[in-house]
Amino acid sequence: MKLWSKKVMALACATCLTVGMGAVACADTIDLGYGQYATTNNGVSATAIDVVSTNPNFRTKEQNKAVNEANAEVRKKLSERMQEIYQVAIPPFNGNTVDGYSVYQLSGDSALGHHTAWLISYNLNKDFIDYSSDVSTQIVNSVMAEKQVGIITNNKPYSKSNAEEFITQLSLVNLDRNSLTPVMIEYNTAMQRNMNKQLNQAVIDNATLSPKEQQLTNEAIDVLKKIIPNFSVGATELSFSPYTSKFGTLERVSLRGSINYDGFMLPGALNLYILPQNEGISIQVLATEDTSRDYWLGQLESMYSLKTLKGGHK
Amino acid sequence: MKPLKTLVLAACLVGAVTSLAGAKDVKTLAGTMTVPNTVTVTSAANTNTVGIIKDILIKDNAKPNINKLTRQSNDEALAVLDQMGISYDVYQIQGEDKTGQKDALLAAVDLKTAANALFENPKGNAPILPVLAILNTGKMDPITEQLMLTTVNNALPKETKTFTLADKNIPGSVYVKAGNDYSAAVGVVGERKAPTTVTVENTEMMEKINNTKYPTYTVGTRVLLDTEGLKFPYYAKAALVMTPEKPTLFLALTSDVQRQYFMPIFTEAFKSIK
Repeated sequence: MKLWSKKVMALACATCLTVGMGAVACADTIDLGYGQYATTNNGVSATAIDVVSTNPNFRTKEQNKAVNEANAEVRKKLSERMQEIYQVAIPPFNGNTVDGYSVYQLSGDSALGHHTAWLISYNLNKDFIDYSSDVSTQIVNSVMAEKQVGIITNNKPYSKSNAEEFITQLSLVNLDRNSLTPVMIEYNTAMQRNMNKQLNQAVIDNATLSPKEQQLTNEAIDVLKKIIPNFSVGATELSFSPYTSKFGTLERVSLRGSINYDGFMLPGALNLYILPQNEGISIQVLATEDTSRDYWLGQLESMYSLKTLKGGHK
Repeated sequence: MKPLKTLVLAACLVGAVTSLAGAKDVKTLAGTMTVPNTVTVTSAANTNTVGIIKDILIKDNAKPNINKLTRQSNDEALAVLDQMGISYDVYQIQGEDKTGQKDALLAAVDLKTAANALFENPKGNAPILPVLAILNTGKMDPITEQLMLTTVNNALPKETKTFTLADKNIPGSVYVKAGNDYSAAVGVVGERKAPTTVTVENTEMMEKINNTKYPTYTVGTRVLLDTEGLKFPYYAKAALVMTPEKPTLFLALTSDVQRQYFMPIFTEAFKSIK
C-alpha cells in the first residue's frame, strides 16, 4: 500500500475512533419509566437530579418506602376528597397512583448559545387511570340522572393499545396568540376570582383562631388580595399533536407563553409528551426558555424518533 | 448612474426613517435611554408591589405594641424603598423575535450615592478617596480613564477560561481561583461533591463608547455556571455612565441564548443615554 493511502487510512481510523469515543462520551441515558430509555444526541448532556425507577428492584429501600407511602396517602384521601367535591358516593380507591419519576436537566449548544431545559417524567399507574375514568363516568351519570337524561356506559379499561387508539383519533389543534387572547383573559379572571374565593373562605375558617392569630391571618390575606390582581398567565401558542415514536404512539401538548407579575414577565414553553405503556402512562414535561423551545423540540424529536400522525404540525 | 444614486438615496432615507420610527425613549436613573419600539421596558420602582410593601411597613410601624428594633428596621427598609427609582432601580427589557419571547434584567445604581453611603467615614477609607472624588464630580481625567481601562482589560481573560470555586462552605463569600491568584466574589456555596465552576467566554474588553453625551464605558461576557453538572448559562453586560449628577453603573443580565437578540439593544441603549 502506498504511503499516502496508509496515512489516509490511519486518519480515517483515528477520526472514526474519535467520533465513536465522542459519541460514547457525550450520550446520556434518560429513564422515562416502564423500561423505556431515551439516549441524548451527541453534544447534549442529561444530568439526573432525581430518579425513582418504576422497577422496584432498581429503587433504594428509601425510594421504595417513599413510593409506597405516597400511594397509601392517595388511597386514603382520594375518594374522600372526590366525595367532598362532587357530593356523590364514590367507591374507595385501592390501587396505585405513582410508579416512579425522574428529573433531569438537559444542556446542549447551537448557534444561539448554550441551551438548557428541564425534563420531568412522571409515571402514572393504570389503576389510577381506570379509577378516574370510572369515577368520572359515575359523576356524569349522577348529574344526568337529575336531569333525567340517559346514562353513559363506562369506558374501556386502560390498556396501551386502547390509549394509543384514543390518541390516534385525536384531532390536531393549533391555536395562535390571537385565538388564545380571549381565552387567557377568561382564564386569568377565573384564576383571580378562585384565589379570592379561597382567601374569603380562609377568613371564614379563621373564626376558630385566637384574636391575635386572626389579626395576623387577616393582615396576610389583605396583602395577598392586593398581590393577586398583579398575577396573570399569557399564552402565545397551544397545540395538541399525535406522534409515533420509538416507544409507541404519544400525544404532544405544546404551550408557549409567560407568567406575568406586576409588569415583569417570565417567558417560557411547556411541552408535555403523553406516552401510554402497558403498566400506565409516562408523562414527560419538557420546560424550556421560550427562545430554546425549538432547539429542544428538535432534540426530543430526534431522541424519540418522532413522526407526525395525520400530517400534523411538528 | 442615476437609478443607482436614487436607489442609494432611497435606501438611506428608508434606513433613517426606520431608525427614527423604530425607537422610543425610556427614563432611567442616568437619563433618557433609547430602545427599539418593539421592546417594552418596565421599572421595579413603578410596580404596585413597592406600594404594597411600603404600606405593610407603615401599618406595622403604626401598631402601638411594635418593638423598637422592628420599627427601626422597618424605617430603614422604607428609606431604601424610597430611594428606588432615584438611587437605584431594576428594569426588565421585554421583546420578541421569531425564536420566541425575550426578557433581560437591567439593574442601575447611582454610584455616588452608593459609595457615599458605603464609605461614610472617608478617613477610614483613604484608598477609596480618589474614587469618591471622581464619583462626586462625575468626571474622570484621561490618565485615570486610561489606567482604569488598562487595569480592567489586563484582568479580563482574552479567551475562554474556567474558574473553579473552592468547594468549601464559606458564608458570605466565595474565593474564585484564577491561576495562582485568589479574588473574592459574593455568594454562598454549600458542601459540594464536585467543585462549582464558572466559565467565561467571548469576553468583551472594557471600552469607551464614542459619540455619547456622557463618558460611557462598557464591558461584557458570557458566563456559564456549572454546579454539580447543572448548567446556568448567562450573558452579562455592564456599563458605567459618567453623568455629572449621577454616575451610574448599569448591569444587564440575560440568558445566553438571548444574547444575540439583546447585545445590540444593550449597546445602543447605553450609547444613547442623555
